[in-house]
Amino acid sequence: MWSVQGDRGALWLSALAAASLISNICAEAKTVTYDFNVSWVNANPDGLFDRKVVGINGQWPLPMIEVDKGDQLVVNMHNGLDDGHSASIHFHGMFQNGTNDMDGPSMVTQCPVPPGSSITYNFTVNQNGTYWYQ
Amino acid sequence: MHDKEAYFADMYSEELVITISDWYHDMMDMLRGTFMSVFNPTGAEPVPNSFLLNDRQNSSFSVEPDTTYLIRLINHGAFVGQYFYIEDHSFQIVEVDGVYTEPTETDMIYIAVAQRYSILLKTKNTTDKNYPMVTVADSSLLDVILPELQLNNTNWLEYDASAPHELAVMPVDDSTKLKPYDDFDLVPHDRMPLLPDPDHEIDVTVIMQNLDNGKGYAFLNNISYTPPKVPTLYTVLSSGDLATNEEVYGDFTHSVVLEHNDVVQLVLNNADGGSHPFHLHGHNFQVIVRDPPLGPHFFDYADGDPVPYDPSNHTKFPDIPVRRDTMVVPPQGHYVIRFVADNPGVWLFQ
Repeated sequence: MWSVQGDRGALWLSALAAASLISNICAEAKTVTYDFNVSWVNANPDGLFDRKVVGINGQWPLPMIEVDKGDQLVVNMHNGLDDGHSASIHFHGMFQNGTNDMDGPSMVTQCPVPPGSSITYNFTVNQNGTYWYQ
Repeated sequence: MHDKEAYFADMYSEELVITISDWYHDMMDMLRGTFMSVFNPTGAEPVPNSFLLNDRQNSSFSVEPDTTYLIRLINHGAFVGQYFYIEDHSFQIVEVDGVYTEPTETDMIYIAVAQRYSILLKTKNTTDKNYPMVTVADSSLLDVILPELQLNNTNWLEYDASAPHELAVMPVDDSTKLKPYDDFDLVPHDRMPLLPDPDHEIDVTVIMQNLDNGKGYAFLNNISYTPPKVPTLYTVLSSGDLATNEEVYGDFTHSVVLEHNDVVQLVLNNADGGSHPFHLHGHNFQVIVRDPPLGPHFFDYADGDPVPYDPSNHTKFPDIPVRRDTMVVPPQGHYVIRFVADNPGVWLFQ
């Protein structure tokens, strides 16, 4: 078994509007939850060749993740790949400060997740900008 | 969603996300078999079959005239860097890899795999024409280019759906002649100054070599990363006092233990004839040297011998260096980065 990095999706973040001019604390930080079932789907984006691709919730291209700075992002990933490939998710560019175990690379911070199993990524997003996940 | 606290939040009214990628018809399992093979002694990477924008082709982005858009660009490909420009339009770079930059006007950028750019684009105040939004794959990375491979792809900035959608007219016959903005010259908006002299320096040379099994591997110095039997983080958490002894992680994870809050300087020398983006997990980093610069001289060292970093002879470190999390090292050139080890954990530099 080896880890399939799967496909990539866009992730971008924005700062929260300050609740008042006095405080810098983002009073409305919330938990944003995504349920991702990873499974094979078909795609033919260049019109030349139909092939299977790693999809999420039956969808390819992959869903965009949108959060505000300060939010808690929870991604419940289930590995529904039916051909033995393991899976994990790396959120590229996320500092994972205090949550190294949520970084994603197999055999670095976690074991790969085999088909039929699940993992929950749960971390605070304390940065702005444009990122992607794989 | 808008970032109301971004310094440029009042400078645009609409937002777009554009992804750029390469596309293979074969599955990774099969590509890996032909790539890592005794029959591929030069280590030529598999060449994509197509290039995509927003995971498709031939798209039109409908825009209003005289409007400023924030466009978030992401290269989420597997291998190929691409140039991006819009005919007859210039734009301002305001973000790279999550770091806001001073607005920097240009008409072309180079986006390596894993990099991101946010740009502000002000549309024209006439609506008679549509304009090609062009991506050009970096053909310097590709071993064999078959005639049917479409390196240049046109999508459109659409001012008028009923006006013609013409294909881009290529200004050059080879992507190495394009002139992208050199991201080394960007200045972060927060103006974080150059980090102090390092507490810890790591010097690595990236090289591709074949091992006795005939397959090609990538090495940093004399080590090609090989996954351990137990995730490195779990070794950290179960080794007690030995966790700071690099040996417990095994030689082939190439683990370097850093002291908390060390200023770390990493020198990356490229002994390979191809450029490579390198990314650091858990951090962004200041880039304080890159030689040669991105632009017409980027390939100057590609033939001949590699040119490693010379601490006694280098360009002056910028007072306010660019920061990002993924940076391209030139063919047979080098770069130097600095960051603070303020984020405890196990982080790949890859």
